[in-house]
Amino acid sequence: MSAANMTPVGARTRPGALGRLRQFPTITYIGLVLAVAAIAVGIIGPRVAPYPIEKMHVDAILQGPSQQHLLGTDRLGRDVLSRLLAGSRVSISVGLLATLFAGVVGIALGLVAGFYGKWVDEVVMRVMDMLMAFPYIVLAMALVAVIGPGLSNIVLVIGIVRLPQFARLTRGAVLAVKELEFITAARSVGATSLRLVLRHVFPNVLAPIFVISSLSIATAINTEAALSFLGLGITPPMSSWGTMLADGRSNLRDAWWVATFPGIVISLASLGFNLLGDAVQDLLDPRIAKRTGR
Amino acid sequence: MLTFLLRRIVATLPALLGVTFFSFMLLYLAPGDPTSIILGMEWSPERATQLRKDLGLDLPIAVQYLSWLGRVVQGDFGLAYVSREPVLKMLIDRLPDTLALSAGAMFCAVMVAIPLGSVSALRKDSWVDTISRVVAVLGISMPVFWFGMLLILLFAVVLRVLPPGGGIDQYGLKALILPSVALGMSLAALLTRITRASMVEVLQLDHIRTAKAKGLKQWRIVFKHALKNALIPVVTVLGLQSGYLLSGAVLTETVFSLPGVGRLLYTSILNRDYLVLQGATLFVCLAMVAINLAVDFVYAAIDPRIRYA
Repeated sequence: MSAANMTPVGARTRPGALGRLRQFPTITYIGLVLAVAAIAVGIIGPRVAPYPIEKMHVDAILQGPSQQHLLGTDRLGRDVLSRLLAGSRVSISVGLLATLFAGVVGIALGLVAGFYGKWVDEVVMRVMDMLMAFPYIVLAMALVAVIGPGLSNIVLVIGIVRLPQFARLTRGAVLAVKELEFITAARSVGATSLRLVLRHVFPNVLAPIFVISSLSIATAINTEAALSFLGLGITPPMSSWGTMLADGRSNLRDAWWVATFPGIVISLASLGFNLLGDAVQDLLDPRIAKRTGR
Repeated sequence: MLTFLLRRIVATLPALLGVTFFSFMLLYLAPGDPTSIILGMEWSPERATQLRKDLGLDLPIAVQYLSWLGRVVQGDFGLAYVSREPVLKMLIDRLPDTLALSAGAMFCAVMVAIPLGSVSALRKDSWVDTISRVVAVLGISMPVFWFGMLLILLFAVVLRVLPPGGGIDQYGLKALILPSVALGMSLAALLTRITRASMVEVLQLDHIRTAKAKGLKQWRIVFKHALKNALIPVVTVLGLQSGYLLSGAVLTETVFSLPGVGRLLYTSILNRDYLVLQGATLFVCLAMVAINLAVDFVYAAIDPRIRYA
């Protein structure tokens, strides 16, 4: 018997990286594949589109799926597949950029509020409470009404709407971490506040932030679609999955494909980021990790 | 209990004040001059100056805010720019449709989520569980307005059994079926996950093991002993999701042309009627804050640990 096989009875072996990867449920891989595919389509989509997005095929207006137009054409004879591929860049960009904005600003506010406490914490958290008192779409619509539609404004609006989630989560995590002994030890050897926050506190709150970022991208993609559907989001000539849905609404009776395919794509992209966030959340939950042996 | 109530109300005040300030600033920051929207073709510099004076728009912003807040507290939300109707009356007229839609959506959500979440927990890690979890996440990921459009396509266009849109006064309760299902399904997705998680935890408790040891039938264990306990977090989440329902109502009412508060808010943006937008935003937020407070009180009444936390 080789030494490698002489594991004591009852002892648990620690699986390698590949082994740990195999322990993830299939649903995690589905989420990962969908999320990566959404980002990949966002990057290369416009380049591989079979037709220019504004090209009107006057002889093929509202034509159903066919060999020439795999997902059909819209009321102006534009190829639905090409528009979906081109629109993916806008929709995915909004999802990622709005989450990035909410993440950077929210995490900074959460770190400052949690670490310094007192009146700084009070002011920051009361503003976050105020933002959270609004139903998210109502807040987004009200802000768009003031600053106007358009790509950068939509990123800003969705970022503001998502900001409190990041700030609250980070603040909570900082409060939990800052009283731990290693922080006291770092402080006692003369670490500055900035160093404490960036080197010791921030890395410890990264994991839950990753979860909320993934879920936030899904929400941001959906919110952009909702605002564009209402005519308050992306404005022509730019198009996103949401504007395509709005376009397809008027032809729902005669041409189901115009609105159906963008809806499927939004749902799948959003599903991917939601599943990914869920999987990481499960992974971080010690109770679930213990049950599944991770 | 009284101390808890007072403490919660006081804790809500800063957020409430913030909400009123934001709603007030909406009108102040909105693009365009209110006088040009109100006067339209009759606009002239003299009339505009007079109107600005009449509306108090020439006063310092702090004075304007306090005077507006004073009027709002007395129920005066002002007159709509376009229809010249009192904004509060417009909101109250449209409230029944929104409330009926929210109630219908909650009903649909509960009817789907509790059985599906319970079955999922009882058959944990089986194919039923996997399918129910995927359906739940898909329900959260699917845009509510798109799902609404698919329902219109199927039930109103293809099968022609339900109206594609319209209010209760036009089609009666039939008008509420499709919007309630559309809005309810995304809420059902969330509730299914909560029910499953809560049920899985409750099924592992000692009193369930005792019930099994006594030889009770499974349906009796589930309905009489497990579900009752498992439903506490579900009820809480249901209450706290009021904001989500109000968000969804804006989109659902727009897709189904249901004349509720959400649709009023949307049309106010299209018409650039910022006084209605201001009133509707404030109204929706106050409703949300009030519902959250009510949920807290009910929960504190049920579970005394919360009062002393």
